[in-house]
Amino acid sequence: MTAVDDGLPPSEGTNGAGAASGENATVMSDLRSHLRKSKAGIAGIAICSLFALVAIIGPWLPFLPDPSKQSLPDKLTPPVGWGGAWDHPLGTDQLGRDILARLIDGARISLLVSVVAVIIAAILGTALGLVAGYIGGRIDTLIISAADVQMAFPGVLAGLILVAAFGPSVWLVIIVIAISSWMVFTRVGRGLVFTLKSSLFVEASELAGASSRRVMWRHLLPNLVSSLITLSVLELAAAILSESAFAFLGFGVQPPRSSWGLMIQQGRNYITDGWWIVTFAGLAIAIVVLGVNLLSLWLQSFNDIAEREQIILERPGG
Amino acid sequence: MARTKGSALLRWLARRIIAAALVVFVVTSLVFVVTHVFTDPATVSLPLEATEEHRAQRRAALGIDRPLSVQYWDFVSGLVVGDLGESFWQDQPASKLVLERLPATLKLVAGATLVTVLLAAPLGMLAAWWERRFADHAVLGFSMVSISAPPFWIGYLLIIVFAVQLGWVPTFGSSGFVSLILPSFAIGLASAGRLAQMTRRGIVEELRKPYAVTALSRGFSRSYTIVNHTFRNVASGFVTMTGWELTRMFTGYTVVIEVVFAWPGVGRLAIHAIENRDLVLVQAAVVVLATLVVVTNLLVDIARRMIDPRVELG
Amino acid sequence: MNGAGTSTDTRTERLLEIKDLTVGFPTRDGIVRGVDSLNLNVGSHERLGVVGESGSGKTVMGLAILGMVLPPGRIMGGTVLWRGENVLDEAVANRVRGREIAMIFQDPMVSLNPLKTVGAQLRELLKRRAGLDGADIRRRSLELLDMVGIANPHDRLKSYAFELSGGMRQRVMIATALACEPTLLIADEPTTGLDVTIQDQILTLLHDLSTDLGVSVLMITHDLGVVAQFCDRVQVMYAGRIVERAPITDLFADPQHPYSSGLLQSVPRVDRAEIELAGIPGEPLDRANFPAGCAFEPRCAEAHDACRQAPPPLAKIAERRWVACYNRPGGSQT
Repeated sequence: MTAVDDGLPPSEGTNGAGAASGENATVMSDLRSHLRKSKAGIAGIAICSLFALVAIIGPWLPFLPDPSKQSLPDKLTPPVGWGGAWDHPLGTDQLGRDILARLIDGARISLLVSVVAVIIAAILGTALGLVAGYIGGRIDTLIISAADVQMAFPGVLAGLILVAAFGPSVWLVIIVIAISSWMVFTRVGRGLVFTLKSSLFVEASELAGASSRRVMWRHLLPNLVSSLITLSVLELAAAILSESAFAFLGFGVQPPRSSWGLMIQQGRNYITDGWWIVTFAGLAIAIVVLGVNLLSLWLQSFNDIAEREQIILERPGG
Repeated sequence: MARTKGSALLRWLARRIIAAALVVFVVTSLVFVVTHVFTDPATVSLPLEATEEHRAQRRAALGIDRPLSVQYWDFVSGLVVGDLGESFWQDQPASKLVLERLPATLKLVAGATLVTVLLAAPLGMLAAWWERRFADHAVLGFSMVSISAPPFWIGYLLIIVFAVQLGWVPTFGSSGFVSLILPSFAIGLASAGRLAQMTRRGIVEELRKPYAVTALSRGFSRSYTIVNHTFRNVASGFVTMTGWELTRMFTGYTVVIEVVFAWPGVGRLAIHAIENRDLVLVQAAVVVLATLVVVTNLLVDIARRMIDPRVELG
Repeated sequence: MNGAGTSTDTRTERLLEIKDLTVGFPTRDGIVRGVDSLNLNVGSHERLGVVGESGSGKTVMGLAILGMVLPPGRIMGGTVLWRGENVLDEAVANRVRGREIAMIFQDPMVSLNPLKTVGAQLRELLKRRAGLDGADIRRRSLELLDMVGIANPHDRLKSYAFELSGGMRQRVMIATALACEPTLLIADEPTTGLDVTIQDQILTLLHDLSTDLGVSVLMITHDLGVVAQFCDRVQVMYAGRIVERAPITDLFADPQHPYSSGLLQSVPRVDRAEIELAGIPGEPLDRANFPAGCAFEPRCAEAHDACRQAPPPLAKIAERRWVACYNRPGGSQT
């Protein structure tokens, strides 16, 4: 329902003959009033902000122990409620390190990698989509064929071969996630450009002698923004899951640095006497991805409602 | 009339097969560029501190001292006859090693697909039937959670609950049908979540269409209309989406889930090959998995054509 | 063929009685009322017309009579009584739908299931709704197709909708509607989109069937020509409300509501469910900026302050004549 959707709701701006700032203002106030009615949207925004905040200020949180401080006598302490004490609320791992502190520490890498990868994919993919859709012809054929090939050669396979060739690293994971996501932006961007291209305001500025670059930059891109933001959020959920999978396979950050996927990899040998390591690390991933998915659902439903309203009002005889 | 229709179909099929072969060719060539231009199997197989002499020796042994064009020709002609090179680590043909592991992976994907379809179709219909009611929200909740949780984590949770705590199924490995259950669910839940929502949305859209409104207005119940009128119109989308989920399984889910459940499939082989610095074997596994993706896409196209003759021959 | 004027009102049994029906659709700007406080009666052996522009709530009304609302719509108030029982009660609706009240829709191309043959669609109706089985189903299918004037009914049973012409499709649609011998037929724009000659054939067929089988017809249309040719009585609808109700001859001779006058002077589009109102300025219906008073006020040449305060009630101004307008004698009192 979320990932892999070419049939995205149409952009808010597809009708937009300029007047960008005024329209954006109404779109924002519409978003806000829609948000008040959407529990999913509120939950999504709350979860995302909480995790983002924790990832940013994590190291300066006062009451947390050092995430890398080992203490073998304390190893595999269960969480509070299962016999543990409040000095390690979520228990400790096989080396006696505090799980909560490690989760907060791991949030930085997990989220940073995903966000950077999506930003790269969005910029690269959108640029290619704009070029393909606007210039057309052979360049379009070339770009869209590349996107098709990429679809047949998804990220994990590319990840396997690149890790085998160059060894694991964080940047490699970022690149792999970006290259398994760019074509989504390209396809959607290209499709939207096709519909916008023929609209009057582009033709008008072409007649006025604007260069193609100017037309793309000043006129097409602003109209794509709301669709691309919705799409980025959608891709972010997929990116966080991919990052965790790569970290779990040991392709990304290496110990002693930490990320959620890596915690699961390290804790998996202790599921019989330390189930909490794997459980809480996975729960952190699941909750943040759920938050991003709720946010994305809300953004999509907002676009859907605009569409549905038209259907009601345009229904013949209705 | 029937004859021209038949030959148009054949031509369409031929075109699709050629396009699929082309994609396989491009993908494998890209793999070759990574594994032979930017680095090479000899360098990867040796520790960083190996002497230059040692390297040259290994290169000669693997035939990597020859010009790239010759190596590429070897690679391509090998592909055609199914020769994917020698595994350095196992000292055996890479294709043999991969093909030995392939049935296990296919079994896993088949189990996961079964879970996906058997969950998604009824859940989707249920949600559409009770549109905007509790059951609809419950199915949406299931979908959101299942697509948000990492599959390998679901795998461990299933192990913790059903193998460790309850002891109903074996924890690891592949011993018969029972051991297939947990990994199939670990893979299939996310796919089922996505597919259930797609089914629901498709049916709800169909229910708004005039023919469905007509059926309802004639007094057919909502459930009868969903099953007998709308589902067939959703079926072609359902098959397409199932195909997409299959490609996700081949390329992502199986790799991690095989690691979680110590399942002796192609994905786990590839991970072991990486750990043992065996670039040739990784390359073989990736080529086989990518080919499976392309073949799946081809089969999906053919299935869609068969379900809905209105699909264009374009 | 011309059934106008023959009043049977005194001898008829009252079949359908809609009281204060309101159907709302939630939108970002609040709830749009597809049907607003609607009152309407249909008697036995009657042919009633409901005429209005696209978007005036006619289809919503037709479906609501069967107890159906397209999501996200909702019935917000009122009752729909069928022989004294409330159709908005799901149990009653399940019994009545298709059996006692059947609906014919606009655009038979998309209203017949594209993946089922004509025979299959008749069979499931006759089996599941009319309770026939075995040979009776086939006999009745052929009889129905014959009844609606389809030649070679044997061959047509095997046809798909896309293999039939527009007129044929609408005939099949009528056959499926008549399958369970209903007492009331709701015809929603049954001729829109058809050739003029075919339109005439379909109307004649419906007229003859209603006389022969004793079926009442509620004709929903944007085309006053159809109403003139077909109906005994007519209700004019605007923005979900009835603005005028009159016997057909009276409406044509002396329209009371300014909107009705506009309709009579206008040229209906044959190809689409749209009317271009002659001499009436303004956009057809902007539901997002719904006026607080009379919905027609923004387009009305005679509007004054009172029209902007509250919608005028439908009031009786003469025997069998009702109008909702502050500018008509008797129209301003409740």
